[in-house]
Amino acid sequence: MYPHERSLVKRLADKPFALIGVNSDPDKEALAARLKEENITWRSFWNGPKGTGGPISTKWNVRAWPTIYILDHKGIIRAKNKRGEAMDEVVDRLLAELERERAGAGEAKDDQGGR
Amino acid sequence: MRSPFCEVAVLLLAGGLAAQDPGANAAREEYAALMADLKAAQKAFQERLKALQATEEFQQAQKARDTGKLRALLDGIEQLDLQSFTGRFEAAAEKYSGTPEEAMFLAWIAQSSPDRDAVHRAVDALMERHLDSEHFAGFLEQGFAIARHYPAPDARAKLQQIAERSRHAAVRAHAMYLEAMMLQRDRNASADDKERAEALLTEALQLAEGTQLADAIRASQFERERLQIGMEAPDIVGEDLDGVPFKLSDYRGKVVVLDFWGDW
Repeated sequence: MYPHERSLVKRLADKPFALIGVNSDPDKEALAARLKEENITWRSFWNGPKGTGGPISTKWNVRAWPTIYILDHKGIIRAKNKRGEAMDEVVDRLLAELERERAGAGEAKDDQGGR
Repeated sequence: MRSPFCEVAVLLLAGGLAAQDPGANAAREEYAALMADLKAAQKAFQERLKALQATEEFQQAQKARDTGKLRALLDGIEQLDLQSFTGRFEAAAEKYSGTPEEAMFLAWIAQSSPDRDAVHRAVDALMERHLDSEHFAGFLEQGFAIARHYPAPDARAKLQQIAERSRHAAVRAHAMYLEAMMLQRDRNASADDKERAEALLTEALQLAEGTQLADAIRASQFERERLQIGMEAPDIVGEDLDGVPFKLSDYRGKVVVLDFWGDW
């Protein structure tokens, strides 16, 4: 799990991409040491001292760990529970979509300016 | 300050109840002893499993991903004999037949026995005599044993009967919730079925207000209404692991992988 996430974060370091965790470990202190050990650099919400029974995962009806949502740049849910290569595929597709949209917006502006 | 009077009153009350109903106490003790035996058997099985997993043969099969071999090795160790426990729980249920405590033993069989016939007998007895029992509520709380042991239409019919006949709010609420979940997970469910599921959840939510079940119902409604592909993700407002507040929506403009994880 961690190796894939680490490599994804590294590969997309200069792209408009973020891996955001919702961590459900009840013991934050013990976790701090593990973050260092595993070189986990991405940001996580903490689900609180109740662990998997914490408020965020309860509200989102998460009953299996890990549960993964992939959001596009507009915050729309585009995929759920894609792991490994399937996750990379979706993320790359959404990044390409974002780039196309930005390029398109740029062109539209230029067109307007040209008129 | 705690009042010493209260403690005396509690002791008197407990003593009074015990004196009134020695049969109930005996049943509870017998149940506790059976559960302790079960726990010991489970522990012994776990140890056999651990010992097997430590053998070179097992580790080699695991390395080679030889599932046939792994299965054979797992089958080779002495299993947890739930069948014999089923017999013991059935004997105890028989012994306390007709008392409220019978339901404890029946609920265990219905929940945990691998023996389908025994499960059916236990569910029938629970429905016949213990529809209003706390133990029946506890059994339904554990989830989908009924759905596991009956074909879907039969399971739904049972849950409907339970919801109609029980006077115990938690029993009725759980029966409605379980039927609604069955309908929602059924890929072939019709529009009417989906509507029925919604109605059941609304009613169950009212019955279960203030309990964990109500939280679970709300969460499943939230997931259906707000967390589907194509919907805008609800914001999350919280703190990171260093205690710094932030929001999911801070990352608007970026592609986001939101990962519910734990280090276990």
